[in-house]
Amino acid sequence: MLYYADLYVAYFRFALKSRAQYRVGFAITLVCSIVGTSAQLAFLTLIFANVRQLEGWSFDEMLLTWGLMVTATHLANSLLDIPHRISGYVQSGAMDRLLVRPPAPLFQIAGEYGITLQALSRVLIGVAAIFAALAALQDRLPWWAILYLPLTIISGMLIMFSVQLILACLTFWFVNTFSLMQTIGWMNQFGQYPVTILALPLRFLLTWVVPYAMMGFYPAAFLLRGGEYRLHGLLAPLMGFLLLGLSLLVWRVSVRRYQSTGS
Amino acid sequence: MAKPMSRIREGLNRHLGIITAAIKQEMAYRFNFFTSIVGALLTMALLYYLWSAIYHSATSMEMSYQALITYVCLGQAFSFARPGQRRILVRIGYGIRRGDVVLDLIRPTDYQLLTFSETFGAYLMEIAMVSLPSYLLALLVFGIDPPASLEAALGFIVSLMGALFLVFSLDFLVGLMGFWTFSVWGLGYAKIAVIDTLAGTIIPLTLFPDWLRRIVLALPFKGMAYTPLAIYVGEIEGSAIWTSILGQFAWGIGLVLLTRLLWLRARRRIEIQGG
Repeated sequence: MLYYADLYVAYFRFALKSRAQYRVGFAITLVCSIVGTSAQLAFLTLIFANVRQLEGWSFDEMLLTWGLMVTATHLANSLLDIPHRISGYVQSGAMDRLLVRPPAPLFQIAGEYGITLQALSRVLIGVAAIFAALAALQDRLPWWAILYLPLTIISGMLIMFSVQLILACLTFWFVNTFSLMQTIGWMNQFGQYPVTILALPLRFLLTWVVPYAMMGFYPAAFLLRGGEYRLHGLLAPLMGFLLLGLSLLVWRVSVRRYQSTGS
Repeated sequence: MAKPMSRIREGLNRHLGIITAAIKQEMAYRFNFFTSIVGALLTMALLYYLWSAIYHSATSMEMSYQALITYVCLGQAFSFARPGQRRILVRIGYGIRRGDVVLDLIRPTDYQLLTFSETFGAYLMEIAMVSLPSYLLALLVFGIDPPASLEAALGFIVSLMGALFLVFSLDFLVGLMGFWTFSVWGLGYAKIAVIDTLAGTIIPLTLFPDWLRRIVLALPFKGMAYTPLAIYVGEIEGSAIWTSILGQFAWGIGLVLLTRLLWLRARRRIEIQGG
């Protein structure tokens, strides 16, 4: 454990040093990423410029859903930005290098790119949205929210990561799965809205197949409305860990299939 | 006397070649077309349910239900914010980062024109292989309306071309930032944000609050989505169609010239870095 911690710090230092070359660029990227996230928030606000409630959901409830979703998604994108890189390693044969070194390959990939800082800036916006929503909804919050929310955010981050990892593992079977990952990743935005507005098949898909709704909507609904959302709400903090186990299993089986490019 | 003519012809031929090459390059990623269509339909589904919910929750709305659904679904079929649309942007950005741009610079063609021809080729392909199938499926699945009139259909097509100019300038601008940034990947998010919200792809600008609508209608971004879509559904009609298209092209040419100036400045940085 300590070995990995030391290693990560070292990786992180190298990553920072190589990025320090692009200080102006970093500022530009940061601004762009904040603009991007704010625009989504603006869209939410614009919806509520036209309606008072969206099928029974208030702005603050949707803000909480949105905040949880954005926080968990971008935590995964900043700390665990691994799955997108895998196909690159496999196609170029760089995977060889990872496999002959002692640390776990997934850890090495995470280290070589370091923390994706611009995604971290989006996490901050997400957290701010959560706090703004919680402040507006504080009368309806149970005491255990303080335990429940951090746990669901971690679980949400793992859901995001695990789904991507499973898709990335398809690289070992097919050549290019990047666009598939993008499409499924794209569906992540469904989770930003109450799934109750969707038709049943889509709701099922987002709950049980790619459980993005477990990242934001179900936790928020369970916290504020309890009752009918109990099952999903209680499952949400566990889902990430279950999926993580599954995805690591898939990863293990897939890596065994790896054949070097031979070049 | 014959010389300038033959040079123009030669240039045209050259760019026709680049456009064809871009089309062929796109064909190599056929699987991407399929996932792009699936992606477009999924996003359409999301927006369909979202806007249905919004419409049913609103007491009054400035657009009819049918026009609203048509607008947002069509917006996805012809969206400039699709992940696949980032290919050109990423190409410019990485070309600059890795130094591949040097190879483009020694070619006997103008770099901006070269990337435009490529964008144009890729766009034609995208229209044929992704947008049109998605559009036809949207007609069937979501029951969207056909164009409001013959003039609207015509205006829509011309206006899409105008939108391409604007989006190209934006792509080129963002790609140029590759001179200063580590990766253009993050910058793509800002592009998507601009096109989705400010340009009105996922929300018709008509539904913005008054003060904000006045601002966004004065900005060039509306030309990237709102103008063609609003023409199609008949929000913009009659002679307003052609004046808004004129405005679109004026902005387009202006922005292409502006990014050109930036490019000429940025180009000097390559020489400093040595590629």
